[in-house]
Amino acid sequence: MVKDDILLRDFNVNDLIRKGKQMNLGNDISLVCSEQRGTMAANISPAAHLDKEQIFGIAEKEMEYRVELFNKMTHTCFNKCVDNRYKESELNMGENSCIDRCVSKYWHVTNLIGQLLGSGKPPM
Amino acid sequence: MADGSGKAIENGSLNPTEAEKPKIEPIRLPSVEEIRGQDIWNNCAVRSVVSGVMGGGIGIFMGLFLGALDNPLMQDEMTGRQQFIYQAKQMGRRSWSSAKAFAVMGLVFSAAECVVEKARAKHDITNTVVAGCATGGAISAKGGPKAACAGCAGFAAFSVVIEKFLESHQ
Repeated sequence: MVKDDILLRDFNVNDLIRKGKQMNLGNDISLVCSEQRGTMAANISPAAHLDKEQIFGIAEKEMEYRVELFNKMTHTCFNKCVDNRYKESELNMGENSCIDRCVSKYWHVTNLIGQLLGSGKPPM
Repeated sequence: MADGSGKAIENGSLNPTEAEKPKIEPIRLPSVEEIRGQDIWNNCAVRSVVSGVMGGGIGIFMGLFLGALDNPLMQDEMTGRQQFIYQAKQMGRRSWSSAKAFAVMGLVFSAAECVVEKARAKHDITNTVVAGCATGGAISAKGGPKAACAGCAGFAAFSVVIEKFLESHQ
């Protein structure tokens, strides 16, 4: 299901919300945002109108979101932490700790923004 | 003609109809054991202990070598066997003290460099300078503050030279 050009697509969370609203998924959009809080399966509304199509659609969007997150995180932290002049193939200690910090910060920020967006009214 | 794996294609004999695209292998992420194995070397304590042991080994050989050069004072009065025993003891003493000195040097240098690099999250020459200064200062701290400063500067310069030499030869 993951497309080849997933790296090049400008797929952001607003896009996701917009497409979700087009599909009339309503409060199922809280799935994606609240997934960041680790409450993924519990929030699927047990409404009868959720058929297989929509579940597949949600899963596909979720997968694309995940892949995009991973790719962006990898690129960002790589550009930040790894020097351009490659002297050896292994990551040395400074780069290791830089990557640890970068990923931790990125993940925290993603969670925070996800919570803000998922809580209903973003303060804009 | 492509070889068995289908990856290498010689330039001269590339036939468009027979050309095989290089196989794309999936990215193999390291397993948990591999990550743990690599993480052992990232630990500052492990690194400094290993460096200390290596420094001790170097010190033993240095001490043996330098101890062999030492000449006993009472050379005329001793027999051959006594001279041999004296020489062996001298070498042993020399190598033991030299091993201790070098082990401390290696331990302090490696620990300082590891801590500084982890804190800065950068791989620079500054780490080597700071670690060299710390080592030199620690070794010559007994001589007072001036000796500590001189030792710091001297050892930092020495370690920078060694680092550049090792970098250019790798």
